[in-house]
Amino acid sequence: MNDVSEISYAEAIKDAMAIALQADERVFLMGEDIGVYGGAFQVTGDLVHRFGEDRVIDMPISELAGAGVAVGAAVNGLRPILEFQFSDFAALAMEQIANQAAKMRYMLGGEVSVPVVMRFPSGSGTGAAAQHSQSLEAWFGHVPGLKVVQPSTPYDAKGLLLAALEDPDPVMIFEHKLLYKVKGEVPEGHYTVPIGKAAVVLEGRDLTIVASSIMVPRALDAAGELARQGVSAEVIDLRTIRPLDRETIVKSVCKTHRLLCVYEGVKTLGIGAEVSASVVESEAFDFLDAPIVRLGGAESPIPYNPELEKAAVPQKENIIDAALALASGVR
Amino acid sequence: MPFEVILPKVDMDMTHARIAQWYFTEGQRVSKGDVLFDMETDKSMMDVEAPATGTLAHVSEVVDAEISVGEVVAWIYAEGETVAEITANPQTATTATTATTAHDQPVPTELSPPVAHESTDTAQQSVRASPFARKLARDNAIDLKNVSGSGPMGRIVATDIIVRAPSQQPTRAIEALQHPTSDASVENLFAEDAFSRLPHNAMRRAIATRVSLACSTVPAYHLSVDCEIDALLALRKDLPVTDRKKPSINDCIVKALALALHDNPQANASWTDTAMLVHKTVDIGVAVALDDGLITPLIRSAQSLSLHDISTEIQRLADKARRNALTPDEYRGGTTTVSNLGMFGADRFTSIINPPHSSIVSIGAASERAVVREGIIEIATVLTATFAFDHRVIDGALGAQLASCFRQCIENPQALIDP
Amino acid sequence: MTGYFKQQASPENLDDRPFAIRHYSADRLKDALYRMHLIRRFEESAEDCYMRGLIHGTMHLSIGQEASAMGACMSLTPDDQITSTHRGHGHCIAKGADVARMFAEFFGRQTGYCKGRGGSMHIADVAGGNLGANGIVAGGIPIAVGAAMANKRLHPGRVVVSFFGDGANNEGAFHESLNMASVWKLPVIFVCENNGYGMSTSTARSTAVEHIATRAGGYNMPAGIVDGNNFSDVTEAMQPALRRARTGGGPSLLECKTYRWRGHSKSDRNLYRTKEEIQQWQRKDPIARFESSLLEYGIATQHQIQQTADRVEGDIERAIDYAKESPQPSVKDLLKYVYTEQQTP
Repeated sequence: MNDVSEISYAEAIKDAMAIALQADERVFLMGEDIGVYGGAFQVTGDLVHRFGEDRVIDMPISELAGAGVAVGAAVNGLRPILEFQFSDFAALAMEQIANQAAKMRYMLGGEVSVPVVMRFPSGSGTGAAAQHSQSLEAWFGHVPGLKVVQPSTPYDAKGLLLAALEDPDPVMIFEHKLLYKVKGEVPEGHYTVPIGKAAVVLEGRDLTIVASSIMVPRALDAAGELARQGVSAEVIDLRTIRPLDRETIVKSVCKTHRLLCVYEGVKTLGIGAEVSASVVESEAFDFLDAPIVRLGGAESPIPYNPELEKAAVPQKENIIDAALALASGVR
Repeated sequence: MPFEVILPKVDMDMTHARIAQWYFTEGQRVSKGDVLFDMETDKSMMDVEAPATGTLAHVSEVVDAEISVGEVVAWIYAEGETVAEITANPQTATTATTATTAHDQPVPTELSPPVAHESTDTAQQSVRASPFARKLARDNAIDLKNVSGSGPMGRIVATDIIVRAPSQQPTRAIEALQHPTSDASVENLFAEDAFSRLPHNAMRRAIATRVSLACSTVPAYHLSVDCEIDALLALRKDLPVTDRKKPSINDCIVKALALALHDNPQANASWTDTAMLVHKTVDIGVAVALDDGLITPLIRSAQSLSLHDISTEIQRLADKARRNALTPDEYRGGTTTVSNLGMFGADRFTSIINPPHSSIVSIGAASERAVVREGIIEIATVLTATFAFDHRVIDGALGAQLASCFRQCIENPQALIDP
Repeated sequence: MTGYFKQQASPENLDDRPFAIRHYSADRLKDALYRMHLIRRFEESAEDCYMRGLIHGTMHLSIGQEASAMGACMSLTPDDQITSTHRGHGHCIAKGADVARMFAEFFGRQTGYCKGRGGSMHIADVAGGNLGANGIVAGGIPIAVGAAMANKRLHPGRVVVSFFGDGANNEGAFHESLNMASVWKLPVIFVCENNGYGMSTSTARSTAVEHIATRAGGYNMPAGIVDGNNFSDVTEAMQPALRRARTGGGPSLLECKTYRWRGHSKSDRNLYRTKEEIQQWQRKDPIARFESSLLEYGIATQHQIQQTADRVEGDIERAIDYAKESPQPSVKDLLKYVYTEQQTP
């Protein structure tokens, strides 16, 4: 077994990139201010000094072309990791991501693969307001051809990134800004976390909480409180939202009879809608003993005021309230 | 879709209530939040508010009669929802063929949701029930129409079916049954600051599980005998002083019970679904009270141990139990238990049999009591031993015989110290 | 600006023949003529099949623009690559594609270049160096830059030619890509086929500069403007751009002034231009001009040219037959190629 050390989510991502840069000449990083500046969230850190400016490339503020260049480079044999400064800026690059990266293999009848990895710092909680705080993963989850992952721990952040680099298709990694400093145990060296597999991170009996990204630690906190109140919650970390691991969700709901979906993206037409639909379309339908409950982001842009900002996305207290109502038969 | 008005459940144990007074009548406009009617439960009178805005229809005329929780007592039609929608459905059509508007109609005796249902199947569907409850109903051939729902809006949920289901419920269904005793449900009955919470530890949970299981599965009966112990006390006093501790009265009781069971081997048995397990040794559990619960370590083969050995063994196990150091071998299995609360002054009490045991003996406090012997009142030191027996294993006569034998041993204590 | 790419005839030889006649062998020139005919007849036949209802969707024909496609590809090696546009049939054939597999793609067959998944708008020939036509205006330009970046690292000397139309010059992707390619000195050549109209809107109404080549100034790269209907001029203009790209000098921009004879797509009613304008450009037919040049300099005879045309006719007929006889893709394979097939352990 590899040695395990306690490092942050950001350090785990950097570690994964360093391992990949070291192991594979084809791997390179591209992004805005990822060189000597170290990245807007200091994720790339000192990698430019270790691997040089040819491997850790500061690019012009040109998200659209940046994404396209990564696609072209990937088609021609390189393994680009493109960092967006904020996931919101993906809107500028959506053409290349949704129309080119995602569809190229299909349009060309399987003649090419597009092994590009894109990293998106996302989510609210930093006071960065409406254009720097969104959780847009569901946009990407709607596009066949893309794979979309949302690590919630340093371990998964490293393992999913290394898995993304081994994946022949475009993988979009949504990292949560508030998680960057969160520490956790991470093995040294190379390992992967499979894309497309959810994890049951807490077993329980009374209801299933399906969460992703930062909502996973929040759901786990809530589950601790719920246990003290006599409600046993099972917590599933989706980890990947496309392809969605429906099997793990369905199995859990068959056991607990109740489903609470918690996600930071806007509630309507979000991940929770897909998770819910997957459950009612499955054999789990017959095992539901209460309506499914979704907790998602507010139907508003992310506001600046700290209290408003907090109210715009599910918090631990909201999860506890919803779970209690669901488990005690009030809903 | 029209909105249904139901008789809401407002109390955990509420199943029925009465409508004391309606504040609106058929055809009137109501706004969400308006008080629709007064509901009288066993405990209180409550306002029930309109769940939606619209026109009230199909108002139940049942006033001052028991109505089941969840039953529909009226409907509210939204603006523009014509009542013709309802008269068009076959169900209503059969009850009133000449109807043009629902307002003209007498209220059906049993209010039904305004959706078409021609067969039992569709009627089944028009009941508000969770998918899991429907599945359980299907699996157990229960007609949902005959079930009243305890969930929100009168929804039939799994627990409503489980209480009616004949047998073979999945484990989780039994768990679901336990939901009414969930912390939240119980805590809701008390003011928020009226208690402090002590979370259960593993031992508390184990005890709870064991006694609940015993109470719900073991058919027990009780039988008491008064034992005079003056002879026993004298004998104990006369025991020679050695380097070993003198056996206690409790040690003697264990020895007596061992002898009694040895002489009545049919009572030294355990129940299984298909057989009686008649045990070859008498393994007696001795309840040891701990700060946060109790545990019953076993005196193995008590029938062949001397009084002194029993005494030493009980001491050893009790010490170990208090150190929380017992191994499973020291408490798993056994055939009976002695529980002694005499030192706390309890005169007599009953205990809950701890399966696979088929009996338990509860020893009360010894005290001087008046006894009548050949017409003369005398004073004797007496303790009451109350036996609980699993009737599946030990019928009354056998139980009485065992108790009598036990008393003989206590009252003629020489047998206890004979090798 | 045009002078940048226009080379002077060598004074020693006093050879004033066009560049292509001087530079390429007779066989290669005849092959170029064959390919230009093939482009023309492929598109005319595709249009015919479309009108007979044999082809699904729509298509964008480049009839009239054959010289720029063929001229730009003339000096490319099989390892060089192109990215193409929605009006991309000519680029595909010029880069060496097999018209039978192209027709098969148009007919939506499994034997098509994209196995029936792409059609006209995504026609590609990855093995032949064509990374694909693109349904998004300017969509292929950043990809060409990325492909060039990979080539610079993995296969120095290989170039990528990025074809696009005048419409693309007002897309952000165009500007971002030119800047990035120039900053990083990538081996890519941007070839703008300016046919005067982005769908119905003329460059005069849509573009602030008269010549798209002017845009290059903002990105510090050399640029040139050529008569896109003159095969030789296009091939000549490509030479310094290719040299620069192959030797690490960075990108160039070449603007080929040309004209599409047909409408934007099959639904175009040509309301934005006159018959006279179309006829005027038809008199500058790139194929006829190339043939005149071959005759004038004795590269080919009238008979040989006729033979070429006849050969093309037969090849097109056989290609259509091949397409018609090819199998349809299976509906059960609908989801195939969405993701790369991975062996499950």
